[in-house]
Amino acid sequence: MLQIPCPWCGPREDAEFDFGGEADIQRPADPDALDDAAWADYLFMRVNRRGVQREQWVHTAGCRRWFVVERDTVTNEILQASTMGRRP
Amino acid sequence: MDDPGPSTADRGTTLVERPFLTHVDLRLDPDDRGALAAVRTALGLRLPLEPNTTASPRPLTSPAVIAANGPPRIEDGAGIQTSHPDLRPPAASVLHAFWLGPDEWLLLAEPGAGGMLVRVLRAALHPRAAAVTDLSAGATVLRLRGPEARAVLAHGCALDLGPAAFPPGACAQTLLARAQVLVAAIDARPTFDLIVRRSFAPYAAAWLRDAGSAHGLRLARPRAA
Amino acid sequence: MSQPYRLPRGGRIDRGAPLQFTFDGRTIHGYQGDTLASALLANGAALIGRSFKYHRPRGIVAAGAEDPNAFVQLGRGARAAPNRLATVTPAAHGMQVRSVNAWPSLDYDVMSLLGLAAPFIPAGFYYKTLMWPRRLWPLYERVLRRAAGLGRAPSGPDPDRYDYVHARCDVLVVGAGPAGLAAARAAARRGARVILADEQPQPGGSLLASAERVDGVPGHAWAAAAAADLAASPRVTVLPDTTVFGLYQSNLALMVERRREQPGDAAGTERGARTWRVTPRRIVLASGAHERPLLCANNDLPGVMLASATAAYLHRYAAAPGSRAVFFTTNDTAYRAALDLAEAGVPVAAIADVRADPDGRLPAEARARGIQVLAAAAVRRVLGRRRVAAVELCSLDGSPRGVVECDLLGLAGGFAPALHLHAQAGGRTDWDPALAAFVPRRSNGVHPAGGAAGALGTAAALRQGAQAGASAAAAAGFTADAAPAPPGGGPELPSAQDAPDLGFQPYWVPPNALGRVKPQFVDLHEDVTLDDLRLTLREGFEAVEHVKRYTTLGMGPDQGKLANPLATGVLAELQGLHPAAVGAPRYRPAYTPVALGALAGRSVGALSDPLRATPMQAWHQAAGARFESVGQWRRPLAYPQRGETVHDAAARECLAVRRRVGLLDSSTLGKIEVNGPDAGEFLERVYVNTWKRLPPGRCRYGLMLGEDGMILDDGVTARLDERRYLTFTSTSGAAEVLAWLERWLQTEWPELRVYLTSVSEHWACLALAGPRSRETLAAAGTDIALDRQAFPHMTFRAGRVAGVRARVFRISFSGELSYEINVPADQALHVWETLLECGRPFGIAPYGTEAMHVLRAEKGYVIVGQETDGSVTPLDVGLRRMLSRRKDFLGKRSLSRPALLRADRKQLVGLRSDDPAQVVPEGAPLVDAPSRRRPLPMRGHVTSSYHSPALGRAIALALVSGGRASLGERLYAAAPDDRWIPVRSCLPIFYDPTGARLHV
Repeated sequence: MLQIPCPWCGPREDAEFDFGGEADIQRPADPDALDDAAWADYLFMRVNRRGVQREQWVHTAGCRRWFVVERDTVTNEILQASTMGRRP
Repeated sequence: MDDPGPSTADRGTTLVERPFLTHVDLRLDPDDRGALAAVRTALGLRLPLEPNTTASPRPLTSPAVIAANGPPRIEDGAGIQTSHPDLRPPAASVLHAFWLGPDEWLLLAEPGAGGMLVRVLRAALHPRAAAVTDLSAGATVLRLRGPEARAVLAHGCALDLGPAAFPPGACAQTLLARAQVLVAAIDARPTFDLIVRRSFAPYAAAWLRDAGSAHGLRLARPRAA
Repeated sequence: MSQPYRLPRGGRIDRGAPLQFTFDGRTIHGYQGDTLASALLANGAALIGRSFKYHRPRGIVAAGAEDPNAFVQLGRGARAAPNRLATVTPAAHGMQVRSVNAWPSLDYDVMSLLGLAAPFIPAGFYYKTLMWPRRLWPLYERVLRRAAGLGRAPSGPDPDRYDYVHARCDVLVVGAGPAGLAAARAAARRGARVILADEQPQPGGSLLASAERVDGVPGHAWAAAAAADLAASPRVTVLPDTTVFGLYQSNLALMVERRREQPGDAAGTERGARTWRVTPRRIVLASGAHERPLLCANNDLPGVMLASATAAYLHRYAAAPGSRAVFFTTNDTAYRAALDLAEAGVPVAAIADVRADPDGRLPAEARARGIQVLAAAAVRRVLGRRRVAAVELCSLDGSPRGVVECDLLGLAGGFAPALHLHAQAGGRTDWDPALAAFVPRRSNGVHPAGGAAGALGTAAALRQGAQAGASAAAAAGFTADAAPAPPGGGPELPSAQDAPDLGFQPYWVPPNALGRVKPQFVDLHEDVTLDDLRLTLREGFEAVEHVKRYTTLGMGPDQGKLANPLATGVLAELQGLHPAAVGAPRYRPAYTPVALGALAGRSVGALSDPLRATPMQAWHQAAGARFESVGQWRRPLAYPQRGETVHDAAARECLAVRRRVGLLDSSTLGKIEVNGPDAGEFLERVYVNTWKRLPPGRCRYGLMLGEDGMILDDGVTARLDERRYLTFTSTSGAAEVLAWLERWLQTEWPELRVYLTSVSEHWACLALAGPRSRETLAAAGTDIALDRQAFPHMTFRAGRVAGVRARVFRISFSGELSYEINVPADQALHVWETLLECGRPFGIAPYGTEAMHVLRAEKGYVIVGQETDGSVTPLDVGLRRMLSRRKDFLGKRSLSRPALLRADRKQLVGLRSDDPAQVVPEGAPLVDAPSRRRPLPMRGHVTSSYHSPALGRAIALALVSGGRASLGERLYAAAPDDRWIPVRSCLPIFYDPTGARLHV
């Protein structure tokens, strides 16, 4: 079991969350400007880091907010959790 | 303000449904002070900005609300005017505003106030980017009260619901066994309100009865609405 | 009473409370306070089971949870409980106990011929032999499973009650031996909330099995008083009979509490269990240490026992584990046990000590008592058939030292901390050379103390326990100053004896001089021998985890409690490595076997998963509907009337909709309100088609793709007003689609001013479909103008229906004139009943999902998840015309990837079977021509297939490679039993291709 610190609700059990993969993947502003290889890179390629990785989680059974977690993929230690930033 | 329930004199632990209450979902930008002020004026309610907390406002006095805001302007539906037979002084006040997320609250009010609340809030927040949605038919409230209430919930809820971590005024969306619920601490008896989605309510109630069987949980009859 | 091995006095048993139970049908007498194992020993029953692989006779080895042999089957029928440990299960009157792995009986085991014929099955046998030829594997498996027989499953639902409970505390103390009791006391005194769990019914741990005194009173009495003091504190929960069986990340501890007798049961009867899920802030690990066995030939014969266990049976149960004993030791502890046995009247014939010069106080005492002590000596071989008859002794240089008759051999190979929980939680260990064992490194919130930390002796355990309790409490925020309070008067540190120096000398692999006598068991449960380990290393499996997997060392239900610490030393010596370089095999939960019922807790039967109910659920039930599961919903499949099959009913319902009118409960559809000034812009980004210009009051069918271009969900969206849309999702996609939309909104486009609110539960949805639906709706009473001009297809109106505020959508999933009526769920049943009542003159019928499926298939409407499977694009299903060219949308760029444009992609087509009565099976593969050739190239597969009552023939939808370019081609569908059904492809629309019926 992982205790995941939701930046809004505090630490909760992992059953309340869903995992959303690597964080900081930006959708290309103009997808048509990308060649197939570059688009496939955006679509499929992920780092899967050994060590501290930034990843997205959503507090499904709680506040429904997406947020960013820094997790050590070796020890499962969570170093930090931060909000996505609010809507303007 | 809170329903004292039918079992005030009873010292056991009881489960009672509080049916037909008004549930309204409110979305707005918490950084918009004007929006918060508009809600405060309209409902006599300060929306709780602290996560997982509840606000219980002073009673909503409808004539003042309408006087302050003018007649409701926004209609339900596709801009098509429909008749609103419930356009009358509200029969009841908002009981609680629960924090659901940084820009989302649940307003719980006496039965039948949904249409009025939606109209008043939409009018008050117009033209802001806010959303007011009546969800009254989509959820119900199960009230668990008495000395064994925490023990009953502990069979299926991982949260620390002890008085220090979860005092009256605290609320949290979490899992009760396999159902998502909003659990709120109402008073120190203790009393917990569990707001459950409609389709999950039979499961949640059956689960609570089962978990409560070892704790002398009694079912109480809902107060007539 | 026939308890020949029961000592006349002593023991922590209640001689005033005799009891009896049966073991393989034999009556066994015992007393309250006995375990099954102690009662069996008192009755002289040495043989408790047969081993897993060779079916060798096995006896009781230990007095606690570490025993590798003592797994028995309790009860029978529905209450059968396999894999229970006789060494920790209290004996209760009337119990039925059976041995496992013995067939047909314990004394005459047919399978032990396996052991005679093939003296040993080498390591890796399963991998080498049984995987080839592959087709014989099922046969091998059947035979082996019969032979293995790890107990029998219950024959019916378990009648006992299981429970599950979440708990929180500041400090969880695992083990109520001296270290655990001292830790709990220290933590509670500092104000921490403490849970103290112990697997035994009584507190005391090692104190229960010794004659030691603590604070001047017998150890067990001190422990009972200390536990009672703790239990009196409101901050402390003392849980006897509770095993912490798993420790996970974030300090999650799972424990199982065995629940005892109910009124009418014999004392000690087990009745279900309660699983505790505890998340303490700190954990004190006081789970003790296990003695290590020693290697010698036939070290598995009944009568070979841990030296510490002989003392435990003596002191705690007044059961003599034999009538004449020999000890084989590497340290001084065996002498204590030998002296105690001798004192109790069990002669000790010899002590073989591997040390050259055992000269401590205890060896001297033994000699003084006349016990023969052989220095630099070992047991070479144990002799006997079904139990120990004698041991063959020799010097370490190989010279014989005689054969000594005995029926009990005590092994004392030193002690190793019980590291299971520590290792499960990912804890690190250090090698302690004095102990020749791994000791836990304090980490991740776990504070080891006592035997678990490598401290032997009661005084050290008390000292370490008090320290660990204090430091755990401090780490959880409780210091001595903060709350100097009881429970428990008296000094924090009771007085007790320190353990004598062990004088331990490692003895892993018997010296070559002793000869290669066989077999020498390292893991008794898994029947792994010294030769197996040698072979495994020779074959190149050197890492300890590889050895474990190749031999199954430590993988039994005993989790290698005795085997693993021994194996580390043996592997190190065989490879010439330092044991720290070998490491310890990783332990896994559960520490001891846990009943599945305990893990399920209350989540059984109707409570195992929520059954979601629509407002009409009870009506459906009363109407005799047959249901199908759709996620957590149960939707009516059809409403069979007298004499009808489901198929008949669905056909009748289809015709009712096509000819008259039908009513479907589609409340399970997902409904999301998309609200805000940028709602239209948001929808344009997530849907393939355009939304901003959709006028309020109108509806549009939308298609949502994943970023990979594959269809994710579909459904109608209506524009409620300038800033609000209502999106319908599929029933199964409701939660997923909302999560998907929120994700893009929150993570990628936070600048959009849009709020998403699920209104699925608030609005019930009643689909009124068929040529006479307009008349039915009018008859039910509505203030909405229903004529074709005022309320055309793909529009919506708000108004009242049957007196209830409603949103009515003129959309259709059947191809007929249709009104999807949304009303607040709490008034839906009234509207449902009113529509059925008012529709009666028009021939209305409620219809279920089977008819719904047929009707939409006749129209060629796809169902996401049936025609699509996550690898189907809009181009594949012929919906290219929906794709907007004027804007970007999720998945758009992927649609121009070359692989998605290939002409041979599987595409949606219709199928007509040559024989109109022949319904092809759903999922059937499609080929160009029948053939016996294998593999046969597949052209595609059938996704939906029904008999169409309206058309009077079979229809199907299929995905066929290059299908749209070759409509009309001949294909064959493979049916079970090698039949081929000839079909012809067609456009995927069978009924009303122009859509005229929608616009009436």
